[in-house]
Amino acid sequence: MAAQSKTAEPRTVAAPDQTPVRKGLRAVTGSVLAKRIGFYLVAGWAAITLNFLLPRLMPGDPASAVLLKMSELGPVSPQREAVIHRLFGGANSGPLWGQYVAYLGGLFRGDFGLSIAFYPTPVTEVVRSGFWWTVILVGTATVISFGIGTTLGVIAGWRPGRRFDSVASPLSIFIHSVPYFWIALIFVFVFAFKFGWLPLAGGAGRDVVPGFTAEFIGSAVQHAILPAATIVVTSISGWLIHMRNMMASVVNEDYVLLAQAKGLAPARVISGYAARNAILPSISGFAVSIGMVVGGSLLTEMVFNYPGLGSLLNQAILNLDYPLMQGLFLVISMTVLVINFIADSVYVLLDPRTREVS
Amino acid sequence: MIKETPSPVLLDVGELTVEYGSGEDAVRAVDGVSFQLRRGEILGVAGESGSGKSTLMTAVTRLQRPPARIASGSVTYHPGGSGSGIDLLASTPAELRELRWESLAVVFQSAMAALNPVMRLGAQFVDAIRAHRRVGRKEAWSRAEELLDLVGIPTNRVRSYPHELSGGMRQRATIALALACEPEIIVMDEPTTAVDVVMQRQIVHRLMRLRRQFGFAIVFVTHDLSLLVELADRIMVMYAGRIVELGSASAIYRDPRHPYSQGLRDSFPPLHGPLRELRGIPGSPPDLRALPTGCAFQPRCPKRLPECASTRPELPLLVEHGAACLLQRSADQATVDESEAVSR
Repeated sequence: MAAQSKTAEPRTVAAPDQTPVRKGLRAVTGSVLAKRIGFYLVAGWAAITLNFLLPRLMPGDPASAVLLKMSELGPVSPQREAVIHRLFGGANSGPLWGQYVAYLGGLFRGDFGLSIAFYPTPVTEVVRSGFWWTVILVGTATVISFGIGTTLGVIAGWRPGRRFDSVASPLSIFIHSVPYFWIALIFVFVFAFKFGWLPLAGGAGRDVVPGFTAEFIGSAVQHAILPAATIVVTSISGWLIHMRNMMASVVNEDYVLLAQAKGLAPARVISGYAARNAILPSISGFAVSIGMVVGGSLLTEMVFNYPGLGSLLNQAILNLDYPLMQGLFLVISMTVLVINFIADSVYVLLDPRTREVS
Repeated sequence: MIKETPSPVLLDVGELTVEYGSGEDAVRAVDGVSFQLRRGEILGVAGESGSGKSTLMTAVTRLQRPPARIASGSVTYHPGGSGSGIDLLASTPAELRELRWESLAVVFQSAMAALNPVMRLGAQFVDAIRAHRRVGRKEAWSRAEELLDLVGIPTNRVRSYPHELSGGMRQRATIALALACEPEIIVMDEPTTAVDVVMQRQIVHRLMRLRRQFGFAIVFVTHDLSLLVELADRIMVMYAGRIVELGSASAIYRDPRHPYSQGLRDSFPPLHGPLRELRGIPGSPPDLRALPTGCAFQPRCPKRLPECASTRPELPLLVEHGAACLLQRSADQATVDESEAVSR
């Protein structure tokens, strides 16, 4: 006991950090969250403003072009004309500042004007019609491929150079280097055309009435399998390679060795220590691809003639449908922001080191 | 002279050889090392970088990673110092898992790297405790608090993440972690190298107190011989993968018999006592791929004899204090001759 008092450490060194840790942590997390929300609000505003400025910076007068096209399709009411000027500027639409306020007002009412390609359907309605097709198809496919690819990457990277790794990694790199549309066309040819196992194109059977019925959902799922499979097959390899490389470097960390030295079961060492740390960079990558789901399905939807946002964007471009393009761009950029915000928040939960205020 | 009966042997390492790679290109990092660890003793392992001391420790604990490979030798663990031994090199991964932490714990050099950055400190204790003991989460957490208290870390730190702790705290936390299942043996690989001298002292004192309290044996690896003199019961000096001197701490400090041990002693200021003139060891550690013939230290040795380049000295067996040096052999020979002469 005498020895104890003699060797007792000067506690004063540690005293300053003895303030209630959890309370402090919560305050820090709160202020970080507020900062992040602020950042995303600014980014959202910037996206909306760019969407306003771009048509006005374009040579010529998109508004007149749009109005000309609209008048070809049918009579244009003065009200509609005002909306087009609000969205794209052009002659006699007043000072820029006034236009900007009117534009923002229109956005908050959800008024993007009428689509030209689908005249006279409002843009909002057109976008809404494609939104869920794309989100469900590409979203599910992205989640599945991330799940499978990352799991396989964990297995390959846990014992780099062993049998599984030496087969999976080169194969992934090969698949990764094949162009997407080529694989998609091969799939269509083999599974839809040659064997006729799955429908060739479309989102659901033509004769099926859309609605929340078993028949419609079954048909939609049947139509989604092939496009989803092409997305999964082509993007799985990227996740696999990424996770495998992170994992292969993390398994050399001392904390993984110490976890093994503690006598933990291998599954626990992998899940709690190795993969748990290796997955952090993949989370950011996953957020980016989820954010791109809405805009990044152009090729898939074109190959499979799928009624999603990608097809709409394609048609908008072909028909010089500026209102629809503007609506789509806004939806795409807002989704990217929202998903990134969610991913950022999840990341903070997953990596305590990012909770520090810097 | 009444001799204390030595404590029973816990860990018996015999002719252990560890190589990096295999075949012709294999580099022998540990070459035929034998030593014993007795119950409750602190065995110091000293040597400069590349002497094979860390490789030896990872091999003894079977934590070596490829390309490191145990080429030959034996590591036998005698639970509680009993006669029956467990061959660690022949144990299956599942058998090893059972022994780990329960009997054999480790402390690594860099505490920052050894703690999982995304797990709360307490959770890393709970993981180890619950892998070996059938206890509830709550109980395991309060055990973690107790352990932190043992090394002087405020118990509310149990919910902190590693990056929220100071370097000294982290290092003490890894030591507390090693005590979680009250092991018989703790292997410490340079646990005080990454902290400042003040913290080093605190850790050493705490370790000695904890050893008195719990009675575990420590293998303490460091390049700092003067630190070992404070801490260790016996010291083993390594050079180029071999033991060049083995003896009690005080004997090695007062009377180092191998020129390398002398050099090592004189390159660190003593923690206590009068200052000595500090001298380094000339030259640099040998290239293990191309070791000099004879004694590996001979090109750097200030007391080199002509035959050192041809004869490799062996560590004398079954002596309290011995050195693998030709000078030593002639000295021993002289003593033997003398005693023979006297007995005649």
